[in-house]
Amino acid sequence: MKNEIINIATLSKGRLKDQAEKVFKKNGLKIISKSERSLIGSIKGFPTVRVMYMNATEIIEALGKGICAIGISGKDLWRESEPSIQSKVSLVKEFEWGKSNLVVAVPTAWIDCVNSADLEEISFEFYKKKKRLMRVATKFKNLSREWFNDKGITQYELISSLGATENSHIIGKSDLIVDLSSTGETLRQNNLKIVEVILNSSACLFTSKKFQNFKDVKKIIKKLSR
Amino acid sequence: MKSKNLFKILRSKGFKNVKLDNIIESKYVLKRSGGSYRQFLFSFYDQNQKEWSLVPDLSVSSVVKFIQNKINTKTKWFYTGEAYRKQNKNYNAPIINQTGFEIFASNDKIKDDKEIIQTSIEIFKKSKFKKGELNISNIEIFNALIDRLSLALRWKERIKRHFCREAYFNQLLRKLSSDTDINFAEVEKDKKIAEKFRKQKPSTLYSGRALKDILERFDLKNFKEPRSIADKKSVKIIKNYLKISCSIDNAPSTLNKFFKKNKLNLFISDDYFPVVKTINRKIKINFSSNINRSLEYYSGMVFNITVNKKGKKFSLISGGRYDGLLKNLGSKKNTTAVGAAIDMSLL
Repeated sequence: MKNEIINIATLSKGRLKDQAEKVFKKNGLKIISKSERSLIGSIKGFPTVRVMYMNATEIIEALGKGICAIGISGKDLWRESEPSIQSKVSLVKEFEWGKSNLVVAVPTAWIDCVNSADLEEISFEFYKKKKRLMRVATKFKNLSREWFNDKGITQYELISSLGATENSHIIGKSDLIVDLSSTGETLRQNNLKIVEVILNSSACLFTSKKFQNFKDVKKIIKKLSR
Repeated sequence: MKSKNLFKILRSKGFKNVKLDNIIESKYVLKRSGGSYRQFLFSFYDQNQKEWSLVPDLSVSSVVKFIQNKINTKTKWFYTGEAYRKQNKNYNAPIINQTGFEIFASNDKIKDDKEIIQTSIEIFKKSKFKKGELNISNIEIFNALIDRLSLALRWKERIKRHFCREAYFNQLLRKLSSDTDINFAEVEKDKKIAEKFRKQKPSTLYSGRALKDILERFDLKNFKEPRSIADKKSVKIIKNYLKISCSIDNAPSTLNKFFKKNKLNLFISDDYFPVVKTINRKIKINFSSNINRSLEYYSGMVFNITVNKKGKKFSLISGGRYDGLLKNLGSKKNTTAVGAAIDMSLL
């Protein structure tokens, strides 16, 4: 096990990539990569460590499958992952950046709907009057299902939506949505209001349970979680 | 007991063996149990994009077969086979062996309830178990009790609807006994929007809902039937009712005493008890208000026969009346149905 390569996964794109790199830098772990476009790097002073730039969802999967030992990704994606993946990944630290809420949002015109109990009654209204299930657009199917079950809402159908979920009720694809929201502005712009927050999410430091007792992994985790 | 002996009993009672399909259109299962049931389905799409599932429960399959065969007369079926369900956390095998028997489209409910229970008792008597308990209840009694309580109508409906989901049902009772469901500041704000809406065409659709329905519910919830105080008394009555468990012989008097004590203006006749008198030494017959709560389609009499195996209690046979399900799954008219399922692994 001594010379086994330890893979650390971090975000590959955008503002969150910069934020994640700052965490490494601030804690004395300088990432060295061949070029701006290179998706693989190393850390000075840790010859057995390899840094991999990846998509946030894939980071959780790589941790769960034991491909990576450490990773930075979103809490929402970890909680959304399948139980077989989620149970193999430990959350080490929640950062103060990359914050957003996973919310249930309904059209603002639904003035009779202000909480989950209302939504439960409305789902039966759809069933009785429209002879169909209430449709919920989301890419967070597992978290949505868990929340709906917990609130006793059974008469609904989840519709896959991988982007621009906020307009799905306008184009007739769904009746309401479950999606991430940071400021709520996009929701407001698309005539939606928040009924309930399912999850407060942020960027987090994760470790794969398979590697969490490795000496170098412990060392890096200690530094990154300061 | 060997399967052939079980089938012999069922045939002698006039039940005809029916072969059920292994797959079912997913819509039937989702219509019965809601979208959340999807997590348990092994489903797939055919080339016409129609979604199918491996049968998760044979009773729904028998109901669909009955509807599709367009039968109008009293029908007695039994079936046996495998049901397939993805298991969530308890790691049980996904294949479940099921045997059940049903009576469809009969007009004599009391007679049919009795017949299903008597057949179950006979199966129990021929089983290896020397002692057991037959517990009987009736969802109609629970619904009648809720109707007599001084609760807002929508709360009555909600409590009845969630009787089958015990955890959420208890959450509802806690909510009912502690807080109100109106945010007055929010209502004031929405009242202005409501006034604007009232000038629009009632049929205008907002994300699938007609304005008329939105306003009707808004008014009902906030003005016509507001729940502004905690309903502790009603919650206490519900909780106490669910504790009632007594010999079937005493059930009418126990229940009527309970209703009288709580001033509910409700009287239960003997019709609600398809089996009276504990005459059999092998089986103890009880009324138990808190049984068979996990299936949402039960609408009337429910029962189970429990046995002890290695110090633990198991349900050998359980069943009940589900009159609303056939209409729900596409039957053109209201069709009655009552039936039971046997746990073959215990026989």
